[in-house]
Amino acid sequence: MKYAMVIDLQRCVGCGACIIACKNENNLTEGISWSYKITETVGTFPNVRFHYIPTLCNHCAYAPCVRGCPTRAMHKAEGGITMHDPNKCIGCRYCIANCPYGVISYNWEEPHQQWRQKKVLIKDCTTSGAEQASAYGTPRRPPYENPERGTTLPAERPMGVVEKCTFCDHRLMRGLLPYCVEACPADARIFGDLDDPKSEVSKLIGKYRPYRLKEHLGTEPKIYYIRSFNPGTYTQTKGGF
Amino acid sequence: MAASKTFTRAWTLLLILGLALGLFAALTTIIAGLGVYNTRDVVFWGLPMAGYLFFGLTAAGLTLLSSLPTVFGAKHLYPVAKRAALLAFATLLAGLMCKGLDLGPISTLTNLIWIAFSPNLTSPIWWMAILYGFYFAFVVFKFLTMHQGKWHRAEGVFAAIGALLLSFFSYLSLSVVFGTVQARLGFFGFTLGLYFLVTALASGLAALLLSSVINDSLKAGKNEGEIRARGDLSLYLGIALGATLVVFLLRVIRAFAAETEQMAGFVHMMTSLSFNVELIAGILIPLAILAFAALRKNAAAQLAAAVLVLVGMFAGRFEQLLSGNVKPMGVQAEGAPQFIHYVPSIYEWGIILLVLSLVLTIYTLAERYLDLGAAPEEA
Repeated sequence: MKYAMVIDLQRCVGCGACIIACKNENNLTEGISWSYKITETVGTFPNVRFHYIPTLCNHCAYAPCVRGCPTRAMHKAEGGITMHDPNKCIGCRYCIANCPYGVISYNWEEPHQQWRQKKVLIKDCTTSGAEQASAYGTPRRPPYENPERGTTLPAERPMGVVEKCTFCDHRLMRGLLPYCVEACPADARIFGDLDDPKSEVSKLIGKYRPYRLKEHLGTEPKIYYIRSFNPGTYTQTKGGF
Repeated sequence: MAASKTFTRAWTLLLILGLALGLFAALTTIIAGLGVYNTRDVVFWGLPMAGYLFFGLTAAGLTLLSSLPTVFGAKHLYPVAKRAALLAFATLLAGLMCKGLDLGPISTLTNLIWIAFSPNLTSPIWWMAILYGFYFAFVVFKFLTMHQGKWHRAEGVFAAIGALLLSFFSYLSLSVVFGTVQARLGFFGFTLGLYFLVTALASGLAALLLSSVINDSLKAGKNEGEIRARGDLSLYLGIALGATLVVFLLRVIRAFAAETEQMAGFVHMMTSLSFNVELIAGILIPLAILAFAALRKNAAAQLAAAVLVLVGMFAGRFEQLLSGNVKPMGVQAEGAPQFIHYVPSIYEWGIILLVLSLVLTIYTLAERYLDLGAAPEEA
């Protein structure tokens, strides 16, 4: 089993549904995004266009974050998933230094702290975050917290440790797709097993010429990008001087 | 001590104040986490990490100096060797505290047990933690053997050789930590190991020179042996600074020759205060002072050169760290400025104040009670 994701840039419209879905599914706190996108602007005005490159942990086969983690908190799990165990993390942030893609985040503050705060915005008028959480029956936690995330990781990662995308391993173990894949309205994210030649990811990688981010570093990322979005046309020409 | 009571009281008060303020910053960090620092996911290592590098590498330089008489028979350094050993202990302790206070809140610090129970032998940080642990133990052992006058007995020689080897391997592991970060050429890969080596020597020499000059000025009787040793230390410092300048220029040339986006952080830092303090105050001016034989024997010139080198080297550690992480990488660059403007928070300065006050307190007490100018009888 070798999990991989193909991202079809022709299908991606940059809507950000994957980013929001990931935040909801994995109970991400403010300021942390496991899934995000790079907006690249090409050309000079007026001949200019931009396109999106959705990003997430590349689950590299030769992951520098795994190699460098002193306590094996960052480790390889089934299917080649790069997993992180917050209970072993010493907060050294060497994985952040080593990751060439900038997809690992450190919890600088207590996560979701707004739901623990007793301070009200307007006195005798609004309720505090703590009161709201209690009223929803989820004291000290966000009312929208997804408890299923807690099956393989703490539902909320504590302050002082790093966190990153896990390919929604808690969903994979139940035979479900990563939630960013599920949520994409354009089916731009395709997930599967590279070891299975009949899987959609294997077919797409064989059919199109894929590229991966910073391939020259030899990390062997497992996120493949195919095609590019371009609705434009131009008059056929041979160019000239 | 010839120093007046007023001076002693003022100095004691200053140390207590520094320790108290620093302790407040440290406790806040341990309780509230690193959110009180101004480091974030782009600039993820800041001032406390620079403090770790500065004090850790200064300790390496001092360990070498304190081992020269015992291991290599450099008897002309006997008068300053015990002082160097004590300073190596104090600066190493300061460095390790900086690193510890850069990890996170108490909940994260308790995870340090996994260094022992879940080791990753491919991790440079793991080797660094283990080697620095043993290094610290040997530095303490070495000072104890010196204090007991067992410089050349079996345990004294064992401690000196052990501390020297461990300082070398610890320094090496620190170089590997940065050298193997393939994604950040701004750390200068293994070139940094060379820079660490020459600057560790320079800062160790400067720390020893500074302590010796101050001690001499406060004491009534002059130690001729120590004065002669200071002349030698000044010469060595001049040579170390010359080597530092060469490696410094190599870094600059490499940054411009490479012309990769990853070097942009270093090129950006060249306009920063820390870069210029490092180059001008830390290398050029003290080098100019120490180039003159007469000034190398002048206490005021020695003092000025040593202070400038220490300030410059600290700025250098800061500059070196930011060169590697001031430019957002990968998706972090989305919506972020081209370079992150990082100014350490008051808590980060508090950590530096704490460890600096601790070094000075240890040194002051040791100078008073432990006879740091002692040498073996055959000296």
